[in-house]
Amino acid sequence: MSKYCYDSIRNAVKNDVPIFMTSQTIWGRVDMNVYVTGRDLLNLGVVPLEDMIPETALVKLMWVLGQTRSIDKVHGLMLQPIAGEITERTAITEAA
Amino acid sequence: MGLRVGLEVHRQLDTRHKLFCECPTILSTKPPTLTLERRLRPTQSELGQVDPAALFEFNKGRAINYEADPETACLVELDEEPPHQLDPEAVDIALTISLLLHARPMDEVHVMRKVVIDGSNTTGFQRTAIISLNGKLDVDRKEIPIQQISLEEDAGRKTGENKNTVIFRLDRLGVPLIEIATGPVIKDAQEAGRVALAIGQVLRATKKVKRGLGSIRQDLNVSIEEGALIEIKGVQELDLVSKAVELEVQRQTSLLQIRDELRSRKVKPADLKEDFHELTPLVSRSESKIVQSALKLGGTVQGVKLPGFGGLLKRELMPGIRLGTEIAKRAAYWGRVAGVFHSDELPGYGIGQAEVGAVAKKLECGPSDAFVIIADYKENVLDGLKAVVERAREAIAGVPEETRTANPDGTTYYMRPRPGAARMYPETDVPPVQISSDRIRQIGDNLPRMPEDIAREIGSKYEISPKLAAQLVNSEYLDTFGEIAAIGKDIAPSFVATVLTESMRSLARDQVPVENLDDTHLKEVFRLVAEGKTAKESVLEILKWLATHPTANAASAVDQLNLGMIGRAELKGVISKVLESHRSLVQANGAKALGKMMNLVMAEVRGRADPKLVTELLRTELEPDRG
Ligand SMILES: [Zn+2]
Repeated sequence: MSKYCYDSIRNAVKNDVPIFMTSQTIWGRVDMNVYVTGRDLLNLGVVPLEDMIPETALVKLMWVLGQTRSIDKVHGLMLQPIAGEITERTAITEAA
Repeated sequence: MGLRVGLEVHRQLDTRHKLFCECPTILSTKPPTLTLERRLRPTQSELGQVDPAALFEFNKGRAINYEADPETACLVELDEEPPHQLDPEAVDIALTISLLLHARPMDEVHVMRKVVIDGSNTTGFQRTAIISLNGKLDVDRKEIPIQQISLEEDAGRKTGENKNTVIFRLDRLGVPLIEIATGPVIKDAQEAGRVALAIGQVLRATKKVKRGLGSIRQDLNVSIEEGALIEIKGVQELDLVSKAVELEVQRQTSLLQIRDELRSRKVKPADLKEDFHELTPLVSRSESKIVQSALKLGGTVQGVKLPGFGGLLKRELMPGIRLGTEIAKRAAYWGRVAGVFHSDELPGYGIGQAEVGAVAKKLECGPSDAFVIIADYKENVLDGLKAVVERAREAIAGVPEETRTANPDGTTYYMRPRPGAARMYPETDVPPVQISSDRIRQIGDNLPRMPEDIAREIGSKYEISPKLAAQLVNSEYLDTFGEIAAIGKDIAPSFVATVLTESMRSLARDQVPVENLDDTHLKEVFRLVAEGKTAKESVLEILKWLATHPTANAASAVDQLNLGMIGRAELKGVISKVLESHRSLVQANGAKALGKMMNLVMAEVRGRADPKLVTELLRTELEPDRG
């Protein structure tokens, strides 16, 4: 993500537009603390979605926005596991 | 003597999650489902240096096998996923302990990496974070400074090792550890034990620390005047702290005596030369298995003379550990060798008198000299002999600085040289944690009570003696006691307290594995007593059986041991048998024989009868008119 996007992101967050980060990998988890860009985005208000895959995240967000328009509730619901789409541990059996 | 001791107490925290991931903090009892082989590879640091210790480990060429299962490890332990945030529960516990010890919490907690090269961490480093500084603890009216309180991740659990491979189980990797370091102000061995105990009490007051073998590790820093600072790692039991200090004092004192003797013999460091001699032809026909197997693998036997060391290698430094043992351990470490022999233990180990004579002649040893020989691959032999010469030179100077490992009996052996500058650098994958003053205030307002207050309270609440109450608070069973005492008035609190303290200790002394007894076992046993299903007198026997059959329950123990209460009919039989065998006494004394008969009957049934019922039945027999 290039720095020229930062202003747009900042603007979106200011206007209560939810912005999430997912990983393109099938197994694995977003960790935004490891690189500078990740930390910048965290500071801008981007919310990492742990190990949820992007396609699921998109569909889930459509559903969530049908439930609530409160930005805090949107964030909360996106991070709350509903059907195994997000887990706190990445199991070793998947890696092996 | 100028003894100075500092303690580093490590204890596992009983948190829901590990320090940097969401795995549970339990050890697996099942076989691993995944095994990985990895190797440690030293790389240049940011300053372009290669860590010499890492290089040394790398040169050993050992592979590291990691064993894991999905219940107790995730990708974080495998180092395939970055660490998650510092576990907030562990930080809260560490802050609680900090406040109890009057230490000043950091405004911001920074996670650091400490280089660990034995393979016990998949990353090659251990994560550690200072939580607070400058605390204090009063022990017997002396103020013991607490220099630093830190959180650390526990290492992998070593489950096997051979020359080429070392195996670690990853269930323990990442379990939070609290580390508490005192200043080096402790002046004698007993005081070291008391300080360790006092710190243990503060930790237990949080009710958030793990208990049992393996959950506690104490490191000791011990020095005496003219001796050296020795770091002793991994003293697992509290009782062993003072013993380990005593033995270290004994070791350093003996080394100083050896130093004086070497000086009076006018032995100089320069007399000890790296002058190694090939001895293979002289011992190739010996019966020593070590020599034969080394030669079969294409190895060699070489030796070195230690001028002026005659008779000193057999000097005992600690029980079972001689100067020769120390030198052999050093050679084993640096030369990766096992077959080290010294002249004070020969002839022996399959090496005969004639061979010893030939070796001594070849090395030009006189009666006041000693020698060391090593059998292994040539490269290892040379590294080993160099280490022998170096250690012998150090004996002339006195006590070398070392890191040593504690044995279960309190003796120690050479582990590695003391690390120089701390090999620490920042963990950039974990963001620092701000400690707000609100968080500290909240923890400060909810501090757990200290052991002496709890002892006073339970002493008066349950009417047990102050000594027994204090023992209970010091034991692992305080909470269990509360739960058992709640069973009701059919069980005397002082009896329960005695069993949970004195009796458990005496069982442990008799090698009964009391650590297998869990709270459920203990509660069941006392409940059976309260319900009149077994006798007070049978409790120890039941506990002993349960400790060796931990999957069984108390009721089945009572059945197995036949310790159930005796019924009325059977009791009547026992009573008439006892009265019959003391007929003349009964006839002479009548009802006055009641007390004596009571004791005999209770002894006969080993307490397995209700005393009230025994009295009632005896009365009927002794005073027929009343019946
Ligand atoms: Zn994990």
